Amino acid sequence: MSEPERHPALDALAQAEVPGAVQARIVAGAQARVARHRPLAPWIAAAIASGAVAASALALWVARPAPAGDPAPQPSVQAVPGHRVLAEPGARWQVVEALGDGQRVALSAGAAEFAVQPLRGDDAYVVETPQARVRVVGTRFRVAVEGDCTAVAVSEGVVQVSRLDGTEPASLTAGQQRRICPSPAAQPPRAGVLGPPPGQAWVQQALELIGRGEQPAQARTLMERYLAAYPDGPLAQEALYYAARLALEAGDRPAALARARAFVQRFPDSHRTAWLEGRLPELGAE
Amino acid sequence: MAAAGQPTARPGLAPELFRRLRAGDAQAWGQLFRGYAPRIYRWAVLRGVAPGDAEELAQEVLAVAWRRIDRCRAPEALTAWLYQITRRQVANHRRKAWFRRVFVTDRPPERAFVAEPEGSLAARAVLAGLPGDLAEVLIMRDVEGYTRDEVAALLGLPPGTVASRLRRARAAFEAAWAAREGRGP
Repeated sequence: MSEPERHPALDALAQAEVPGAVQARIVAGAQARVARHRPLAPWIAAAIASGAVAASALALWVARPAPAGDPAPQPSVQAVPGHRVLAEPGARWQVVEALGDGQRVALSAGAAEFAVQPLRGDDAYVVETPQARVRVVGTRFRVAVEGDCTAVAVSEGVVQVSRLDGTEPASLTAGQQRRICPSPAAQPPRAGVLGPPPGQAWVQQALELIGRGEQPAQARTLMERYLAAYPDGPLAQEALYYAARLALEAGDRPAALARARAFVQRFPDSHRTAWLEGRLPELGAE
Repeated sequence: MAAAGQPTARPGLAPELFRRLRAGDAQAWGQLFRGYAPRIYRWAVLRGVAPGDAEELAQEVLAVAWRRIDRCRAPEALTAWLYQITRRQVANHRRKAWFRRVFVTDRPPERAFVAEPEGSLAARAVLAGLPGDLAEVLIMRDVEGYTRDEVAALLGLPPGTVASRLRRARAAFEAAWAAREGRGP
């Protein structure tokens, strides 16, 4: 039996060149990711190494506290794979434990914005403050410890917010906010909590499917159903983005182009716009 | 661009550059990013990651390298270390991909390279259908052009294992290619 030789069909691959624009985008993107990171503060690194922060054996990143007297502190961005945390100056937070692909984060002071990638059903991303627990499926939101209270504001997606003991749970969707204080008397009117908006279940179910990597066609149907029923609903941004990506992955280029165009026009300031804009030419946009 | 059968690059890099990387020299990192970006992108694409995702994946690999360079012990190990990061990122990407079926159907891959011919797309489609352990040996030896010993170092395998996997990979590729061309099996 003869020894198999190198197949000539691989010649074309061996000679394939990476486009210069791709190389430039990778380098720029990597540099941007690096710029968003800061090294561990020496005292925190020492604490972790000595076991003083026992619960944080799985801690990946801890925000550097703003130096005293810093005249114009800049927000620091810390990241772990799949998720981003924009810790504002003075924020104190740390990753306490890993929860599958998610994690549990303790925010003891200050404010931070979290951008969480869709997670599988069993995983979770949880932010805890002295007053509140915020549980995430996949979204972008800000949590601030303000004196004795905690304020949560959602800019994309859906989060579950409760008191730290799990009581008074409520869903917050894009544009909504909630403030949790020690006693009911201290709480302002909960005008921002209106209960689940119509169609939220469709989007939530779709996000869960996406997070589990299952039934993309069903996820796309649910997103499209929401967009048809509530084109200007509070979750339209979320639904439009995923409808575009799901259509793209399904090979439905006309639908992907239409959805991507609509997203870029309606939400030019979204952090997702650049990615979709970059796909427009290959989808046939002129 | 690599000539067929010729190495695109040897593992490792100059000790002085390595020292500067570990010292956090921005210029050195820029040099490394520019040098390795195309290679990491190629690795990801050849392992079946869609071009758009491969760009993001390559960015993350380089960012991880920057954060963890202290874990790379020697300059000659850098390429293998970067490949191991890429490998983990690819596995993670596949596991977390919303559309796992993309990797298991015969949907044609998107163009990823300059003026990529149909033959290249077809070869990538066949590669994507091979078992991962065979595909990566075939990619490193027959596409990227590393020697058997270099492939062994990159993949962390004994040279004998690389040789046996390469035989199986070539046979599997040949069979899949023939089936694609309608020549059986």
